[in-house]
Amino acid sequence: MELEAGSPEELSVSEEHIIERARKGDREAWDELYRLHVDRVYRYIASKVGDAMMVEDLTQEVFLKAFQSLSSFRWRGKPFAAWLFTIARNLIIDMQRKQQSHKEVFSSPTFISEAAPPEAEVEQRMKLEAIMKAMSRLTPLQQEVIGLRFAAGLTLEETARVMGKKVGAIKALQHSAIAALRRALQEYG
Amino acid sequence: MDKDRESAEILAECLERLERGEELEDCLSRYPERAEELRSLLLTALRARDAFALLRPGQEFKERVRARLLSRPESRRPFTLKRLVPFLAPLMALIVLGGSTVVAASESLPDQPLYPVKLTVEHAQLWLTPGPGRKVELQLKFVEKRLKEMDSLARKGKLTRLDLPGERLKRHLKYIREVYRRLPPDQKARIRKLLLKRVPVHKLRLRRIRAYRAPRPIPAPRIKGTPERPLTAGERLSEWEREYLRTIGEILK
Repeated sequence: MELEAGSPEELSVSEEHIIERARKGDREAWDELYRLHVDRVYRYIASKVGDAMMVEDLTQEVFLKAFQSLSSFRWRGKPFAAWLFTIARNLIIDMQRKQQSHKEVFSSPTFISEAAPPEAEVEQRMKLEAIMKAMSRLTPLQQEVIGLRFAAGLTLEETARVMGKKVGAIKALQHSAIAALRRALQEYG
Repeated sequence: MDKDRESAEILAECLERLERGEELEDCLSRYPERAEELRSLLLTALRARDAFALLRPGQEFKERVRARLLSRPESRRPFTLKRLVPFLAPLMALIVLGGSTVVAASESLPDQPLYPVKLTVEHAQLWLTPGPGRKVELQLKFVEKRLKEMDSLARKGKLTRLDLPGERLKRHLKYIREVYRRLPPDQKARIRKLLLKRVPVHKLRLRRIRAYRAPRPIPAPRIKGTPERPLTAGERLSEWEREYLRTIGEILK
């Protein structure tokens, strides 16, 4: 099959090729998938979970679970990212059902860039705290779309897949979420 | 379309444009009547995105998880093609086409009969190259090849032949942009370093191509349903240059 260089089909084929290798036990392919997605999975979980150690545990769990069940992932044009983040989302829901309270997170040094100088670190924490506080004022669905779109960096289509909704509904949710976030930020500064 | 739905559509479109590298003001200029509201929403989204970008796992944690994942027993040891990649693509072409054909094709230009063989070998190389980072590096080599081809054609006065390598150049650049965005930081740094070394050569080739004057306008590719409009050599070159500058701008920012 002739594919145009740079076409979405070719990019999809690249990832499909890596996943097929990973399913056959190719460790380099596993490594590739892990490197491609670990930061965004972490960011997504951190945007929703208040405890730094819990974030690390869940991030690890996402990849362990994904690699365990990679054989059940079927490439039918569904983005791998959507499948991976569905695992992440379900793990968070399970955890939140078991947890009674959330601990304060921002004291953990691993949340912010390790290389930042102290004054920059303070500024970064303030930026992050403002957003996280504002996020707590959103509905669960609004928080979800903000987390998937802007923490995980998923596309609208991928977000729709993870949330089990149509793209049009995600656009509407995104709009209301950003508007609500703006209102909340105006209060917190 | 009702007003809320329209607002949601416009916001989604603008966010996608920003994600593709478009400037905020360019997005807003498309919807002047909504610019104030749209600016406020887009800046909120960008603020959220920038704040979340601060959430980074520690390196020690990442390595620990990585080690744990990679220590899991493999179900099957795959045969690795990694070391054979430089040889496999031409080997495949050799089997089909014959050795001397492949060698002769490697320096062919778009106006020569063996040029399709050259492209076939490149396609096979790309397919066999593992890892998106290495694929981007290979595509950068293809960019150089296309520029070299265009330079040679222009020097020979064959400006009407620039379309084929020019359009392929655009596709290589688009691929590089789209895959580069998803690379981890260490691979991005490697690509940036490689590109920095080669940018002066690329720019020199583009300047040289531009310096050759076309005897008559280069005809635009035919698109079904639209009237044919001959573009000047300058217009086509500008289009390819813009794609190139956009790509290096995104990578080297």
